[in-house]
Amino acid sequence: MIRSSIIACEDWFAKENRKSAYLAFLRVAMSLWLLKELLIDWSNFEVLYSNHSFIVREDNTLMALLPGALSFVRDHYMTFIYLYIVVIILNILGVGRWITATVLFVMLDTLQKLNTSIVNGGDNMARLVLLYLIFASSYDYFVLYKTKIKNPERKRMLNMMSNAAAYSLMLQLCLSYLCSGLGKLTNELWKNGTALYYTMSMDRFTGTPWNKHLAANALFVKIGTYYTLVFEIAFSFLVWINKFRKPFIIAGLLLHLFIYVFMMLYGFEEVFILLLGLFLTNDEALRIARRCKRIIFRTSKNQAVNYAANS
Amino acid sequence: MKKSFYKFISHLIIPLFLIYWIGNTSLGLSFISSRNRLGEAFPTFNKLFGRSWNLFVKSIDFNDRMYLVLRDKTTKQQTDSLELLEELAIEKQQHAPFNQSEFIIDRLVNHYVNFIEHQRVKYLTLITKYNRNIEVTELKKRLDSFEKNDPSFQAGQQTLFNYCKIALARKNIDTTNKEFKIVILEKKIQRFEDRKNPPATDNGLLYLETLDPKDSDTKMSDVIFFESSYKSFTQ
Repeated sequence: MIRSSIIACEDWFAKENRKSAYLAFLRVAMSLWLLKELLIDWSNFEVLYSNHSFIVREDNTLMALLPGALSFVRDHYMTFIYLYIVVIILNILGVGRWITATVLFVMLDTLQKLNTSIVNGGDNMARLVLLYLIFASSYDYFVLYKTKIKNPERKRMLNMMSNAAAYSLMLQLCLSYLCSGLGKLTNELWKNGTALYYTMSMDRFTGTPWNKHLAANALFVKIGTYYTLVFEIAFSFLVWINKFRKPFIIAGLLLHLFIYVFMMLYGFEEVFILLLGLFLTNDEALRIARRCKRIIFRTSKNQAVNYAANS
Repeated sequence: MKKSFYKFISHLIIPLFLIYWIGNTSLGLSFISSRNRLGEAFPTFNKLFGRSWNLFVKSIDFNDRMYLVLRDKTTKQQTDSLELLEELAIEKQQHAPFNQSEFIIDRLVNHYVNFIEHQRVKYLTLITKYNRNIEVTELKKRLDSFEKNDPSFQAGQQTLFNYCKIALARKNIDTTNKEFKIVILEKKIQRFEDRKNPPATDNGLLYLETLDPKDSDTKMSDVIFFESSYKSFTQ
């Protein structure tokens, strides 16, 4: 019984790369996200990564295994950053495939270890995304060159690995929501529906002058608190049912956009929003991509026509 | 040869996928309970994959405050006091959404403030666990001893001292013949029920406060978590 279920599962996994389009998009989007994070951090590199920062380093992870390793990287942090940028660009172009993906993961992990105090939930998730993407075949689109796999057994194995990686990413998102939702159930402020008031009243997360006015509205606070609670717990179970899939993707998008604007957690929310797209089917992802392409093409065509008419 | 290798790997993927996800889910869910015994039992797995996905689980009903207090070395009179965390929050809000520099400094400083608070609670729990009726002076002595022997605590404290020096330099505050200390406390957020009665200075935006006794908004009755001894600027 178990054996036959595993065989059926194997066949389903091996048949096709079920998320090939979105995985390719995710590889490029995550790489661009890493580049963006680097660019906006650029003026703060000395504080973050050098040995001359006001931060007193107390390395206790990698240092035990490789004495002086992190300190060496800190001494040459700009060289490390330039190499990191090269690897990110190679990953965007799909050059070096899984080898580049592995190097990129190790480099991101090292960069996070250089300064663990700055790492938040979004960075942790980004690290896991890169880890899973090593196993994913995300090279059907957005690559410099395509390779055709002739061996059917190899194709089968790669499809299985890729689907396992894609479903791991989806399960990881579900797990993070479920743990957060269940954890909130143990907190009195979340249970009585006032948690949003306190969260929005925290100085560090006051993103706009409207925060205090919104937090003062009891109806808004109650609805917002229970919306978050219900979404986080129900998402993990209902998003897998076709009928609820799109409403839950939209609900997640709204929740993250709200946190993005009102709580100033930008990078964090971008990673979670990107992961929500994995719940689209390959056809849906391709349809959206085609529509975007058409809009961009039409806009640039119109611009060219206008330019020609004016000149 | 290659064919059998691919077949062998293919047969491994589903069982490995299932085992990994049973482990990852159990570990993730175990963080919800206060005793994360599963995480302690598998430290390597925990380090690699285990994350406490408790996003905003602990809804906090206070804002952290870190006061920097300066006094004259000879007269021992308080000369200046300023609050640093609220100022960081204001700067972060004013520059949003292009506030990455402010975001980084805010995150770094708050990380060490939270770390010091966390260690304080840990030591207090350890000391009072077997000795509930301990005298205040003895408690302070033991806390000092715990903190002095903890290199992470010392590193965190020194980081905050270094940041304070930067803040003072940025504000052009004269530090000749002065010494300083930091005070970390939790300032309670007005209860939800009292939200319609904001303080007089509240204009919807954040506002600055000091440890000035004349400033009615600063209540030293808010929980003081940490108060360092006075340090010289040459140290």
